[in-house]
Amino acid sequence: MNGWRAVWMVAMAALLAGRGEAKIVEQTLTYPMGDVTARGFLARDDAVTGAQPGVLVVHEWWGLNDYTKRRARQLAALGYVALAADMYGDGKVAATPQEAGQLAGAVRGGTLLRTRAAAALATLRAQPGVDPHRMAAIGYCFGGTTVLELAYSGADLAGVVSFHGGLTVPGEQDMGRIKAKILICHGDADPHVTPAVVRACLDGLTRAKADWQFIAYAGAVHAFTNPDSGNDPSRGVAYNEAADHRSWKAMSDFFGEIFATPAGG
Amino acid sequence: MTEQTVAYAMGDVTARGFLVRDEALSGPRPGVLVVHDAFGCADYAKSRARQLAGLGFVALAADMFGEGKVAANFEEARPLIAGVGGPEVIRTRAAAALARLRAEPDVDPDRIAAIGYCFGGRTVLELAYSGAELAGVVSFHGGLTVPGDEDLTRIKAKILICHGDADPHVPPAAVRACLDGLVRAGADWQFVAYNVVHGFTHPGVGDDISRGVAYDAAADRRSWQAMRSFFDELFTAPTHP
Repeated sequence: MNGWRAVWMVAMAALLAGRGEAKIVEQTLTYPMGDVTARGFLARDDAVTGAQPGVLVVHEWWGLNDYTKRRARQLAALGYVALAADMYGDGKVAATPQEAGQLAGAVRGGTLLRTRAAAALATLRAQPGVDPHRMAAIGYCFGGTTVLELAYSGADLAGVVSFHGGLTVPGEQDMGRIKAKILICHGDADPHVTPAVVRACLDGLTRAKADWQFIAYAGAVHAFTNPDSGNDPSRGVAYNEAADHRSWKAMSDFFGEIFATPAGG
Repeated sequence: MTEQTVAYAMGDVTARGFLVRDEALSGPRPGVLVVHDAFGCADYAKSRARQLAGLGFVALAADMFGEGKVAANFEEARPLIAGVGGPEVIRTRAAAALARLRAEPDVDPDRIAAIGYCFGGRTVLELAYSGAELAGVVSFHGGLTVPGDEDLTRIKAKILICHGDADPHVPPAAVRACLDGLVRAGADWQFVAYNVVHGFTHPGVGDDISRGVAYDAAADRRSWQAMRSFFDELFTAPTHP
């Protein structure tokens, strides 16, 4: 994966240039989530001192797997404290799409999605070294939906980024309370998120007076940021290197705006 | 920073463009063509060219109307735009400006992009559709036309479209028709929508959204940043490896 190597090299180069010795430390972090125990994954650069922005990472429908952890590490390398949430509890990871569908289905709909995401956010906010006023959440697929719902709930967040997420519409009770700025990175050819769904979401965000931006990438289908998605777009799920790099850059630019001062001081 | 008016031939009309660069820089560097909105190659287009020069590019603000004609208001702008004519003339005139920029000795001919506002956004899309040798084009609140059948296999430029979602001049159906056309053409494109109306990058158009044309500082900043990140991608790696 040349693309991944390039991303890492850029991240490492930035670290070496900016702060001397980067020391990414990671740990499993358990936190209560209603009646279940979540097993999140925390990553940070120990060489960075002072309060840093915190970024919550919400996994795909598979659960908190290696892909999600890699994203948390990448964010740590950029100078953020990153917590990969565990939305299923006990660190459950699905082995098959059927299982993933069941796990996601049990959380989606109703209030569980929002309350579980809020539990993860509170955990991250309470971490030492996290600036509680500079927090964002990003999510992939199922996690994209999750961070939108978290924004709709009025959570105290500077911003959220959805990557190929399911696009839900804010409810009537959400109108007027969305504080987080919203960036949606969408695969234009995603068969799971049709143009009508996109339009309904954006119209809802406009009604809610949210601050939103929407980016569509040519030819990108579902899961376009995940190299494990294969490379056959006709399946409706495939990696797209250009869209992956561009959406990550769009997120970095967005963080540059919402966190105002550079990460890590 | 040095600025000069440059005359170049555009069919039977003489164009008067505005060329700006940072003289403190040396060596070949990317060139960026700037195509003006309905008001012609006036202060706004020139200010964008200066900003680009400040970023280290050689920037040429094209003159699509000829003789440096500018409009003071929409009433004056209408006949000037009508006077340019259809897509063929737009493409020919834009190509003349591009050739003029490419001829500058410090412009790296393999690293050239074009950006445009409103009418100019449409213009740079047409230039891309014509198969012009360009690394990329950026449209800011531009009219979104559909590539023709003859264009379907020749688009080389990567395309970034920055659009106001509430732009009454470019409704959702026009957006979709354009993007579907780009898909058919196999173009490399990105589309960004902001929750704003027409003219959102132009501080001179006021802030009354109900008129359908209004400045929006956040969308202005964000779209400029999107352009810069796009240029980083285009100009870092050689376009012809």
